[in-house]
Amino acid sequence: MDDDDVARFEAVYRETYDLIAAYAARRCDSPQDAADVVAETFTIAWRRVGELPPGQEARLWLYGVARKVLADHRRSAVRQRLRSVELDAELADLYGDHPDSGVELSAIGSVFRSLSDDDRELLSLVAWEGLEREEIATMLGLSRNAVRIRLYRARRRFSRALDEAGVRFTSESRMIPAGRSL
Amino acid sequence: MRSADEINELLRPLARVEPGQPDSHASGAGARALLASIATQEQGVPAGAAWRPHRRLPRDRRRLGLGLAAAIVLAAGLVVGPSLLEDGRGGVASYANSAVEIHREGEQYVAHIKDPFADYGKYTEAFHAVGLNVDLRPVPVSPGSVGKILGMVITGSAGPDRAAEPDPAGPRFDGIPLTMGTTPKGCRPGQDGGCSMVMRIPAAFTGTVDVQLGRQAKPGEDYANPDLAMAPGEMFDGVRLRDGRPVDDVLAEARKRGLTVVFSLIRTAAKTGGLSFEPLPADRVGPDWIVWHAWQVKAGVIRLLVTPERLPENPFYNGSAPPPASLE
Repeated sequence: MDDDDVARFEAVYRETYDLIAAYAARRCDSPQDAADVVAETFTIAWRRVGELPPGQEARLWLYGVARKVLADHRRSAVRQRLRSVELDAELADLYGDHPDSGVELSAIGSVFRSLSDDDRELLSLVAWEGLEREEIATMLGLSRNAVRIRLYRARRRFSRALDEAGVRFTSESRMIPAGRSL
Repeated sequence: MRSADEINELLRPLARVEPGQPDSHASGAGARALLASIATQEQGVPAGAAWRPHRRLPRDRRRLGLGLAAAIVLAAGLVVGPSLLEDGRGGVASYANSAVEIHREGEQYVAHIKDPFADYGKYTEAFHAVGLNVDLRPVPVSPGSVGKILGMVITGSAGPDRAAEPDPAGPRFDGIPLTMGTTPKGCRPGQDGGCSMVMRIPAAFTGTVDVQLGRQAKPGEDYANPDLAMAPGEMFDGVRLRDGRPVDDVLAEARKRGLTVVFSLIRTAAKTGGLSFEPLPADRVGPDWIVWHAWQVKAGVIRLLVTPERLPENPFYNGSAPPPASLE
């Protein structure tokens, strides 16, 4: 651990804070939980700054840490207490600003939530974080081929679940349950 | 089966934070406070071994640059909007009036007591403005207790962190101690120029705290810390009364120190052994009575606690805590 590492952590923090905050906010039900995940993720990164890979891979490494933190959180409800009133408020902004706050209640949302955690995470990483297959492979420590296969299967399961729920597209991409008129 | 693009299009509206480049919050007060608090932690601890900041940090720990700390001080000028927390704390990040100046530094609020003689309502006003329920009441004390917390009652919070032993720094909330001190460190408020009292309150503290804070006594004002007469630097520093001493002996000591002496008679309740005290004119106290304890009344005045006869043991040292001086 030298001064370069300290400076690097600071730089990585500034570059990736928004990405990790968004990642957490998209997956946590409350801003407080999201703030916990953000705080824990960067705390781990600070303690393990020597393992932080260079360049763009730092972002993927942090996504990987955040994913594990999130899983721990869901399992044990461990609370990291570094978060502050301001941090909570900032995360709450991410929640409040969203124009379609109620969209989670939509049909597609409930179908999506019926998928396994792994399927949901893979589909989200592509659709929300905009990650490429190679990047997901790096983040999850899998081969590219394994990611390709898993993504394919996740999409297939999601499609089927949508069909079973009778959800269909409209031209505006808005989802409506079949059998109900607009 | 739907295509990858179709699925992405389906899922994007579900994202709470819209995919794409999110607004930058990295320079926000919350992000900076987090960065600052992370940087105070030791490194190299295996993940999961300890989530809280350690109480004892190794000497070789590193902190982020000073520039960052300066950035956080600057952030104190920002007005933070009402948060959505359950405790409803919403307030400004800094506030000042004629009595006190409060601002945020990382995970703490720092309150500089500008006027220790102000009406306590002024302090309450300022603490409330930054969203803290702190009832700070300065009480007059001897010089050795100025800037120290005489008593603290914490209510309505999740409570301080559990610790195996009380932390000498003060009770901790989320690892941050609630403390009282002076700035510059170690100076004597009321005696040294430019020396003021500083209270630090963890930002995570959501309860209510009543604090009695020692301030310098005005001339002739009674002390609220009478028990400390024999503490280092106080009027009776070095006087030993553990085994009781004759009144004339102790009177000589007081005269040598230029102190005025008053007396109280110690009464012991027959059933409970509890102590009570009755002020006694000096002319009713014999020179061979026994002094068991001394209280500091105010600057230059000491109260000797006496009995006419020697007791089997010092009633202040019989295993029970000394009674509060207010029982007098």
